[in-house]
Amino acid sequence: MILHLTMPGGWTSIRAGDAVIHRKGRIGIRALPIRELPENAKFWIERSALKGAPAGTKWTQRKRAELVTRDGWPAVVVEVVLAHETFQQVRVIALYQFLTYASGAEVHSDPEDFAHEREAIYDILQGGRPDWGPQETVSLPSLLEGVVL
Amino acid sequence: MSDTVLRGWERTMSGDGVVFRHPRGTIRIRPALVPLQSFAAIMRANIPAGGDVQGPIAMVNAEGEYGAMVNAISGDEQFTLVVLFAETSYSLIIGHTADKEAHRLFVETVRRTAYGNSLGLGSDRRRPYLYERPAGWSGVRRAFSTLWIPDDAARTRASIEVFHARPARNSVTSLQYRRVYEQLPREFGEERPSEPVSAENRHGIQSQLVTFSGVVGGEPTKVTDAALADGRMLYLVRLSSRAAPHDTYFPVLQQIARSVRPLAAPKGDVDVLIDWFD
Repeated sequence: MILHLTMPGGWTSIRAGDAVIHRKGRIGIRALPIRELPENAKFWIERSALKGAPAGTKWTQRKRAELVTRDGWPAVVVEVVLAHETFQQVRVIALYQFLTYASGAEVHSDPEDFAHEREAIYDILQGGRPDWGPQETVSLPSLLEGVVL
Repeated sequence: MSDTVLRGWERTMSGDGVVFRHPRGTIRIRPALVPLQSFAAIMRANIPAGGDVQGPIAMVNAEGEYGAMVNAISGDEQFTLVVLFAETSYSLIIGHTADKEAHRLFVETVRRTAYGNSLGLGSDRRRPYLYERPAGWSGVRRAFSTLWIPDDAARTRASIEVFHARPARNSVTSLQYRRVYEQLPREFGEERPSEPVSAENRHGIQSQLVTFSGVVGGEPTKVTDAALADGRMLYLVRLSSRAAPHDTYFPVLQQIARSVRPLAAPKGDVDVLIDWFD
């Protein structure tokens, strides 16, 4: 089960473990697997925003918004700027709620590329929806698909 | 090391399983295989394509466990495959002979081996069962249920949860299970539920539907429980959604409840043992 993002042309997508990474230039969007709701959404977002950043990274929250996807799922989106002597990066973290499940999207971008693609990135995030995964083993009737009862 | 258990066959332990060898072929039992796969996928992986395929047909073994059997013949060669499903694994029994004269013997021996094959899970447990899946809905497998989700769930927050059947007899752990997983939140206790409505089930199980209303997270919400009982097991199918569109999903809930097939009880046959002894 994974967050599905519909990517416009110009992006490449690869499976990376249980996530999918979409890339365009110096922008990467990681679509995460669907899991249980985090106990603390604020903590989850902050931890995701700083994931992998070197020690001493300063971060500034530029935007926080509650959004509703095009299908109607609720999500929280936070945009932060990370600054460190070795790098600068814009990150957007989206946390989606799908019934009693949740998933996320992690955008990591060079600031200049982000400025050009910001609207397109938010449009992609707005289209996020659940992919509930293969259906062949979800129930006993599913296991016996095609079998005469 | 081999010995004779099944009359005329030699038994050899092999990995986790057993191979029975006959002058005309073999039968292999592989227990507790993971990950779980559909019968169709297992069949494709174990039986060569082409040939004359008989089945697959469902089977219920002496323990009441569900599976399916298929027989595939290509010239003189025959593969007979049975899969028995546990909740998170499956047992595979596969017979192979290249002797046309032995086809019937192998089909019957595989069938009887599977019928008496123990998964060792015990019948007095929460178990999945057969019913008609809601067409076009996506399923999510949970520890003790399947959650079915329609395409428009984003707007309606609708889902139908088909809980595993559980023994009608109470125990300490079954009471806790009900409290933790089945009992509705207190928000549904403020309004009086609907009067229970009896419903027909195709297989003669008694069924009742009750609707509960509440406000959850600021949203008017409804839940309708279809509770079925066959005297031995209890079956719960739960429709949840925002209040406004709730009734539009009612036919789907009714269709599932109508189609619930009661779990088979274990059989007390003794004759499954007779062929095993010289």
